[in-house]
Amino acid sequence: MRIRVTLSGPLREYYKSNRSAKNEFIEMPQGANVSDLLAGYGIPPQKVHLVIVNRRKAAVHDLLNDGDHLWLIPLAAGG
Amino acid sequence: MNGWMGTILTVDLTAEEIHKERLDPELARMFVGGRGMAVKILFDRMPVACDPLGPENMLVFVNGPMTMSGALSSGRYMVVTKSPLTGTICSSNAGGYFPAAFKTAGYDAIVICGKSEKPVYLWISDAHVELRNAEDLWGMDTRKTVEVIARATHRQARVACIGPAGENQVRFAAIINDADRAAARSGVGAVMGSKNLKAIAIRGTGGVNIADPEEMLRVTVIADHIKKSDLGFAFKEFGTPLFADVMNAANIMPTKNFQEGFFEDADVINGAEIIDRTLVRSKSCYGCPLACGRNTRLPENAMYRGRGDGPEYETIYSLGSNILVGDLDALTKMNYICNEMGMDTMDAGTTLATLMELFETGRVTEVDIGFPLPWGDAERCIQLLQMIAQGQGFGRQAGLGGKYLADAYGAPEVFMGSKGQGFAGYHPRAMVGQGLLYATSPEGGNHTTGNTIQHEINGIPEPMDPLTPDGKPELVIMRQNETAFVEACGVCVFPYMLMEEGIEILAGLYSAVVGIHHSENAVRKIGERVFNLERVFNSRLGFSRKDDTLPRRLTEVPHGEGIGEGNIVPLEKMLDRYYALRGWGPDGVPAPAKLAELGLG
Repeated sequence: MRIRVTLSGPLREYYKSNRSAKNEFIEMPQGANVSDLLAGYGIPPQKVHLVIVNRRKAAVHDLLNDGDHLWLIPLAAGG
Repeated sequence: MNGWMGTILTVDLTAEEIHKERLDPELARMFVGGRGMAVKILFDRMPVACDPLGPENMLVFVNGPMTMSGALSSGRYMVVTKSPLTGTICSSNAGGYFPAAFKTAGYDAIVICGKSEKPVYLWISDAHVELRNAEDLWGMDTRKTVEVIARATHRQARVACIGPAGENQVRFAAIINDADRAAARSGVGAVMGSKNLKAIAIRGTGGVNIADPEEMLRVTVIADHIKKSDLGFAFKEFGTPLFADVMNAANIMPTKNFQEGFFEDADVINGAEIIDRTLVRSKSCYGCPLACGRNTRLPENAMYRGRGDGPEYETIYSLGSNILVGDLDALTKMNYICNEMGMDTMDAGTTLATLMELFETGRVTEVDIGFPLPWGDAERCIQLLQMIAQGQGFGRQAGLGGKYLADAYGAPEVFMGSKGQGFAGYHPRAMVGQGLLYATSPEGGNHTTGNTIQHEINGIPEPMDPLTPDGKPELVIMRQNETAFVEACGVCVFPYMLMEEGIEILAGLYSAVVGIHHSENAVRKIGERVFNLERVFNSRLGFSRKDDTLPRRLTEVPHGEGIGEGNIVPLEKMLDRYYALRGWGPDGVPAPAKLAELGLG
């Protein structure tokens, strides 16, 4: 299945294409979850504060579906 | 005195008189400094019913006992006055290096009264205080003003000034210090303009006495971990613009005047894009390791030219997603214009958003404005911002702010703000505590009086459902009280309101600076006192529950997809509990028993 991945802020260093990408598409096997995707990227889970799938909060054990847009976001604050 | 400099300077512009008085230790003990001390000064010395743009209004520049103390992020000052935008008390806060000069020149507060007959600026070099003619500076932008005054006074002088927007009394005019830092909100620059005061330039060479330097060092070591944390790293690398990713991903980034929460082009105006396209360097205020400021320059291939600071996250929302401008160069140019003209980027943006919606619905026409103003038209926005600052054509009307425009053109519901001040970049339908904060802030739709993002979005210290009213009155009261203390101290809210143990650390630092032990609860009580006095100030003017409101778009129209799907802000339910917990009457007016408990009876 095809997943659209957006890596926010410092996590963009983990893009497979290039660090200035806005997002990229990757292939994942059926039944893969967020944790599998993190492992595929080599992103330590503690660097990810929020996982958003299709604009909703998700957990690392949540299963992914074909066409999902997944955002990985570090701890951030505005103001 | 330890922490405090011990002197309040009063400048009567009408009489051209300068007066120094010793700081009353009881005023310092009860209200600390900053926002707290200033509201007490205004409450005692000024007729609260005065015209905000009349000579009776007072403009208080104030730092705090922690400013320049060596504590983490201690380079802040505030401008406190009665706001011409909201008609309420207001406190506008800025960093940079002006606050350090102000403090080390030997003053806790500068109280500006009256109105000068001609434009003047105030020159302070330690004990020397002088009013100087500023007729040649009138009309000058803020960057040029800083340069000219530094040449005329001292190369180490730090300058806070207004630009043309303040001179023309734009209701959301800012006071800009060090050329790029802004005491932006609530129209404090218009008050300065109404007094014919162009600038305050200060050179300070003194120091701040610390009661217990060893204890100070010990607590500072504990606090220093924030700069080594992931959050500290993210702040320095990406600044507040990183937050655009969080808000947009979760569908909480106000878009198209809060009609939506997701902006398709957010990834070309976010923190990463700034690094790749415009960033020159991260920039810090005095004594701050976070360095969240963005010093930027528009690249050679841009349509516009300029160099300066910004944008911050709030500007990315207000002059980006909320008016559908997905062009970093244009957004940055608008930020530069606001800084140079001396305007708040946030209310500039909410005013433009209000106008764009009025234009879309045909209530305001091309004939009124002088040109069409469709969503996302950056060129026209740039043109209109200049007209607003200069008071030209339709710009004079637009300079009265979004609420004025929405009321004047028969659609009050399209202004996205509270008490006349536009909201910050957090959609309350998907974080309802922030909605309660906006409704109850003493100065209207302002996030800085107790932002709830750390709890509602980041889930720190523990996960919290952002969609329900459960626990939100308690949360908002705690954040409002803590923030009031932080801003009384003269330090930045970022480290102290973001670290889990921030208030504990600040209480320890405050105790070490002033030499009197204060527990966490003791400093929260001081914050509660400050917040209540602000509420009393507003109550005397007739503000009550009827003014603690949000637009129908937030309380009746369900949120679109994403985290907040289908949600609205249950404001009335939260308000009942909020007032009860505050010890206020159901009308939102502080009860005598609460005021007596806080020493305000």
